[in-house]
Amino acid sequence: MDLNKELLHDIQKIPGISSISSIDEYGELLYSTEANADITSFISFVAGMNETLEEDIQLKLAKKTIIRGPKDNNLIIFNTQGSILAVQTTRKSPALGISKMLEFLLREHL
Amino acid sequence: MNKVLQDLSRIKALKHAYLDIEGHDSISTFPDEKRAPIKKARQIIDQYYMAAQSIEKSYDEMIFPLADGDNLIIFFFDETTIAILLTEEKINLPMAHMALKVIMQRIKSGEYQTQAIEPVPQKPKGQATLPPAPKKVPITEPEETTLLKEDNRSFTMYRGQKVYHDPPSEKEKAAPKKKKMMYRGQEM
Repeated sequence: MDLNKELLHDIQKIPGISSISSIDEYGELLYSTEANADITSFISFVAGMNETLEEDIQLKLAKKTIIRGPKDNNLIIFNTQGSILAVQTTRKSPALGISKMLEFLLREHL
Repeated sequence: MNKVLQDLSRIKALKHAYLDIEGHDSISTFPDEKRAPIKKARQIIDQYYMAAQSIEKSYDEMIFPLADGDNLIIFFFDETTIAILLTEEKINLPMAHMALKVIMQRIKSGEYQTQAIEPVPQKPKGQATLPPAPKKVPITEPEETTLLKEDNRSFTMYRGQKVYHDPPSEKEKAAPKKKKMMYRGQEM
């Protein structure tokens, strides 16, 4: 997913965003404001596993995954056109609402 | 089982649920054609949780919006307790999470097995509900043998009427009884 400067700027303006990562279809990190390398590996893992999950469960996924945990920031992963955009939001931020705002921005910019 | 389904049905926007707890029978409300795919996906879903644990993350809730607008939601309560849900687009996640946590705990403690299923009385449609019939009070009559006293006169209540039993006077007791001769109601 090509993160142009304008899109990056718009995403960063959303309250609650703590990091942005962009990963190509081969799992290579293109851009990230996240220092933890484990997170980017996990993002690649989830994006890859989603395809298997979709096949097994026989449900059409909307290429978006929201992951939450009681002690960690929320993780929102978009998997479109073979590449991945992942955004972390603060634990108390509304992950579902932010994911919809991101979806809107992606539709506008891509 | 019925009680579990009843509790699940109280979670708003929940369409189907698959609950899996190690050591207990899994519970699924998914239609038959979806049961096998859900079971197959169960192993893949475990890997998400294991991957999160391997990087020391507490991720225990995964939301996969579906192309048709519904959500596939996975709650990991621990390594061996998992809920896979199919929900409507708008769902109160904290409420659903808490409700399922309670249901899971009840399943683990065997609470659902010990609860007797009380049949809900079915009311025929359109029929007015009558108030309960008053309790019948048995009507008792005083016994004829009840002896009561009033002004030194004994009597028995019989059907609400006093029937006096005047004792014979001392004279009557002493004097021998004469046989009275009666003719047409007149003493002779």
